[in-house]
Amino acid sequence: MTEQLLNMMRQWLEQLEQQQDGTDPSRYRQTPEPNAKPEGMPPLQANLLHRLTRQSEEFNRFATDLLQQCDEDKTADLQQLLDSFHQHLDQLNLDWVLYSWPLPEQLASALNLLIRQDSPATTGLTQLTELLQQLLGTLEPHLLPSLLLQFRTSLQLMETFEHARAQYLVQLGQINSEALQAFRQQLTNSTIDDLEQLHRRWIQCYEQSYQHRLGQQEYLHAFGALCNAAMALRQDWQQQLEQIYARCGLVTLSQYDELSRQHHELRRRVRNLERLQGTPQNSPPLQPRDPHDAHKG
Amino acid sequence: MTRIKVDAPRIRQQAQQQLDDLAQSGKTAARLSSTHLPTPHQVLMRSGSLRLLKFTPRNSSRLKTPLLICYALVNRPWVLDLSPQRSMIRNLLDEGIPVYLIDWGYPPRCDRYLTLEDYLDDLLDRCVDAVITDSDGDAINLMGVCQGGVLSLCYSMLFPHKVRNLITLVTPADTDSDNFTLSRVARQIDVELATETYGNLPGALLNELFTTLQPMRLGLEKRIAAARQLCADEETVQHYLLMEHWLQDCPDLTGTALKEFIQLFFRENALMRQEGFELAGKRLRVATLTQPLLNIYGQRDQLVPPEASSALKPILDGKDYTEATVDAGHIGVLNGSKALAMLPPLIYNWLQAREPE
Repeated sequence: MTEQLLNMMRQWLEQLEQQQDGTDPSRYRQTPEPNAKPEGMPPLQANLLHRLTRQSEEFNRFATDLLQQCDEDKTADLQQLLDSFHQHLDQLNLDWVLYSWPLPEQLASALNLLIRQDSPATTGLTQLTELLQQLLGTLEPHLLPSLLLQFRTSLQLMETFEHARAQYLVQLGQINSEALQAFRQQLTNSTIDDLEQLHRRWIQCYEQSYQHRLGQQEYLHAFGALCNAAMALRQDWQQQLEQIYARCGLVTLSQYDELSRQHHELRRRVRNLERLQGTPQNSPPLQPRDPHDAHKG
Repeated sequence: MTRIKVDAPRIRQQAQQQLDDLAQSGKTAARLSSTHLPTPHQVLMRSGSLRLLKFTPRNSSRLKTPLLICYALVNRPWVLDLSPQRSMIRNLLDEGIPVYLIDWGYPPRCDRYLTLEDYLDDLLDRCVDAVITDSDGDAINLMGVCQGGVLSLCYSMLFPHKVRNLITLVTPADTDSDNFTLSRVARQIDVELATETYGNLPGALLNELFTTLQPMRLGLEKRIAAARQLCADEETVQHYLLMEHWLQDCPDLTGTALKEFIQLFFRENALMRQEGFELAGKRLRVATLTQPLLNIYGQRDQLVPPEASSALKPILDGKDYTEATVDAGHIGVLNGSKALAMLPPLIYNWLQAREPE
């Protein structure tokens, strides 16, 4: 890389820092930070308890909201209740999508560093893509064609992923709306006297809408598109890392995989030869190789 | 403006109860262990991450032909032996059936090129040979669970002389059935890209995919009930913790074999094809299956719907085909109380009636 190119990148980063004056990049989070886990508790139980605590917090928050909405007659406005529930559900959807289809770690780190902390998680990637487009525009005349092509491919994959994620969120949003409509019909003319029952009614409404949508090609395409876009993006970053490893003289995953492939080829040939010869080597050992294997649990 | 009535005192009380349950469940969960304690067994064979386990009946065996259980490559087989109170394997042993179990283990990255042919023609075949040798017999009874049922069907067609009777448990045969959501979802995934990206498909990713099938039921509903279940008696809490442990114990799936499995059985619905399909150098047709088949499935199975399993019946019309259903879901057939009471004696009687004199 030439000195001129390095200088330009430095300038670009300085400009970026000035644009972000006063923000704390480390505060931007894609997913909520897990709460502190109890010390001394086995990981499984600690994890379970952590999830239950979050659930319980939500349960209580919902109960508090519901009680605050009640007037002196102990009645609540159904529309207000459903509106707040809708917002809550959209947030849950977003959390779920961000958690289930994460960005490659390097890209997520870049996002944390470069994007304003108050940006909504859905627009963070858009901003990063725009920033990288700007960088590409600045560097384009100075980059090798192969590097330029790689940069463009990565940006294209980011855009595809972002689009797929937005499309899938639309699908989930529609499921929420349908489910809420069914929920509204169930709640009209009824009394809320059991929070658990209320949750169960909601689960029933949601699952019905979800299963209905799951049977439609439109939903399945959106789901598949997001899965595939997330994998393509990850693979692209992996390939770039591989090139860096190779330049540093390190063994790459591809090289390791190739050795594994050759090993399995050899193993198959040995197995075939053993079969042809009918030798006893293909008989497995009848005693455990390790005395610890004789488990007496 | 529509207004609805709210029973405020009761809502307050429930919210408080939820907090109390949470505090109590934390104490109980911390006290109890989720360590799996299997029924005593011996490791008969190892090959890579695979282990072949041998379980011996406490009393004398009432069947000479041993039963080899071929579990799926997805999840871990210890759901069949969760605890002394919830163990299909223990109950089969109590019926006097000698049991062997294939534990495929946790395949490392270097196994990404293992093919379906490797699993059938090499690994499974080695296990069958080892069981035949160990039991001093000439054939085995083979029981395949879920995906393991598909492997067992294929193996029985590849090596008919080594399998005396075949049992399939919650096995997806017809992946085209309308309500087979997993199949429809799996067809959307670019498996080639998945294996290129990950090598072996991460187990955690697969778990996410399963949750996607019923997100609210497997998420919110389960957690709402969890705090109360964790406040129940010790046996219930122990069972809950073990199930949680098992659900999170997901090995990765070997890339090449997964790719072939999805292509053949999900995209091409190979088991249902009259003309058959090519595997391990042979053309296989389910209609040519020679072994008696006991096909068991859950009436409430959401993962592998009953129609997907029962589709074997018309293909094997006129042959020694028996069907048994359990009023349970997918996992319930493997370790639910109804299944544990019903299936071991049923399996014993079915096998015993087909045992050579």
